[in-house]
Amino acid sequence: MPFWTLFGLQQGQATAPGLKGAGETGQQGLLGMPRFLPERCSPECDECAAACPSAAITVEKDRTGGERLAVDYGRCVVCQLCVEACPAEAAITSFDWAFGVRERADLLLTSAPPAAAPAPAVASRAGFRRSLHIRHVDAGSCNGCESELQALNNPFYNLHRFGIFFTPSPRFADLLLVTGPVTYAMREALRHAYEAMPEPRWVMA
Amino acid sequence: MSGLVGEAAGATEIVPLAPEELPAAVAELIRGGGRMQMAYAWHAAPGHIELRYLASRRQGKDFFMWRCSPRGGRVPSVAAVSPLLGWYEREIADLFGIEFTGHPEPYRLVLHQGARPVAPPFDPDYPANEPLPFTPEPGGLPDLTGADVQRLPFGPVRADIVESAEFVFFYVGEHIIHYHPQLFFKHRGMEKRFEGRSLAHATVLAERVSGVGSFAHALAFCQAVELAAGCEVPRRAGLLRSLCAELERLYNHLHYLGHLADTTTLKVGQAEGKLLEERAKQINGRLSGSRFLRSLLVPGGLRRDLDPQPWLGSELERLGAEISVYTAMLENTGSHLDRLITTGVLSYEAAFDQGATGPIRRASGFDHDLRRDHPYAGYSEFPPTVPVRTSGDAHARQQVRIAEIDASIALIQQILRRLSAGPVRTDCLPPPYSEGLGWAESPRGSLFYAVHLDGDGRPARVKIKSPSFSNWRVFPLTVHDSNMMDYAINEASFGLTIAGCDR
Ligand code: SF4
Repeated sequence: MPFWTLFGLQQGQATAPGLKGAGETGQQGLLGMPRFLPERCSPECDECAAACPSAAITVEKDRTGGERLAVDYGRCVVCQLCVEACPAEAAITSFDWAFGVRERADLLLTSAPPAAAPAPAVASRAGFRRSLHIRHVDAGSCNGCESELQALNNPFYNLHRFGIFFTPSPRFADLLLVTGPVTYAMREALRHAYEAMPEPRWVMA
Repeated sequence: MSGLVGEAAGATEIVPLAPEELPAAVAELIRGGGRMQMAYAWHAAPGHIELRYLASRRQGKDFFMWRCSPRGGRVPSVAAVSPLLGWYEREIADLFGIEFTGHPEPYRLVLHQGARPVAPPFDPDYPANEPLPFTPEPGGLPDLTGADVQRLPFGPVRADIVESAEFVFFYVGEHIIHYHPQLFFKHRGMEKRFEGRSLAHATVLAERVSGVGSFAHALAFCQAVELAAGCEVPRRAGLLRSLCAELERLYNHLHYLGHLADTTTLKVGQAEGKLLEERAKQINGRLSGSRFLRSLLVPGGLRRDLDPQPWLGSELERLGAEISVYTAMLENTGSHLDRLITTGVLSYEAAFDQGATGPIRRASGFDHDLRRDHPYAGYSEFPPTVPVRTSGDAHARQQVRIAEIDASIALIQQILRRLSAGPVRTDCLPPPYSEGLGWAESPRGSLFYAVHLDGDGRPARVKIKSPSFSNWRVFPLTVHDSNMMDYAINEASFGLTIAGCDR
């Protein structure tokens, strides 16, 4: 269909600026994970922990009897209920829609002194120096993840330009990307996908 | 009867019925122009399982329910009279251990072959946090053998970024003799997760039953609770709810068109559809803080006010103009239309009997839309135009969705013109042991939430009737006896989700 080709050319470039570019990211107004300012907390208050549907927040007494707020961002579903519940503006809305860490432990916010840095689980990233091939497995998601992962391939994000590809076969994959909580019926299929991947391999879940 | 069962679920009439009267009552309802909607079970009292059958006596008439108590754990199946109930009965059999006598398909549905729950999963003392004992076993497939018959299982992990399900094809050459989708790999026990949660938490949960239907799910849940509480949502909240529900339709339908163009190998058409979807999602984000329109709803209204004026109107006008160019091109591309016309024809009768819903049923000549026929939120003030096509093929399904995009944008613009300042939230406290039914016309069709509350006004039982559960049942009928080349196109033309079906 020649008119589609023409149309495509006319549309010009739809892609968002690169990671380092300033410019329009398309994420205007998006509410991110809450930020916590524990110094504003009033004693005896655990409103945020009670409001959180995913048990991401705990308020515990430490040895001196003071309150200790701990937040596990790995559990946070970005529902904003803690922000609404907090009477002291100690939990505030952030617009941090991009949120990434290298270690699971780095998702823990705690006022306790940090433990000794754990040995890195991944010794080297040499395995995917030039490009990264991802095998996605849905192990029982709500389909929200798939919707957004598919969006990464749309012309706006155009993930290919970074050398990141989704591959249909685990045999070509460097990374297994798992969505969903792993239902009983998906456990075996998920394991097979992992076992079919060549070394070195990574899992993101 | 104990005080546990109210005679009316908010405004929904409840009629008791003896098990043996069921088949005749259902048959008479259908003869009189009525239609069954769904069936579910709940523990009405300790040790007492009660069945509910949701129906309407005539198009546009209020919904009502039959309630019926099985005798000795058995009840006659009505699947032969109303085929669409067949899956509901099998689900109840799997999850509640009720036997439906005379069921034409007495197989497991939700639980896979080889799953061995220690008790029916909805038993009050079922150990919900322990893994379900499971050794996969084949089963549920017809005995189809022949010299040339090949069997192709595909999934549950498939190519590309898609949801998990296994599709089994029995075929000869290019011709599909029989098609069996094995679903419910993703069954997460979502309905049970609602039990005992606070209403705020339950709403967050409803937003995560089907991600691309987050708003419709939370809306149906909230409306069920509001009905139980007898609470009236302020006008501004109602209008904003309709506005968001239409934005949800918009990005879903744009995604649908991009995906459909992908299956007919129209690459620029795919890219453009996905780009327009992205733009719609960004509008959602800008308006609500969430690309899936989450964290907004609460029983009683909205958690916070939105500010769509004046920017949303002009933004949608720009987007709408681009969509018109795009959809006109799709409707003008011979190679695309050739693959859609006469593909996957669903007859009116099959759509009715088997329970097709939403754009699928409207493409098969069935003029029905909950927004217009059973209005909620802001739809009584702003009823939508409801496009209908009669050919029942993939092209009709595309056309219905294209027309719905136009109708959604028009509706949002109307709402924006008439939106006035006001409160967006009111108290909503359902009384102990009350119940309510909520519904929404989600982008994929009719969605119901039946909510029973416990003594603390928290959900004791939540039944979710999702549109994809209905349409997945119908879809195979259009695949048997078709050909392999058309399969992906036909599947895309249905626009199904699996999370919503599996729950
Ligand atoms: S945003 Fe929601 S899930 Fe995240 S910490 Fe706050 S209450 Fe918990």
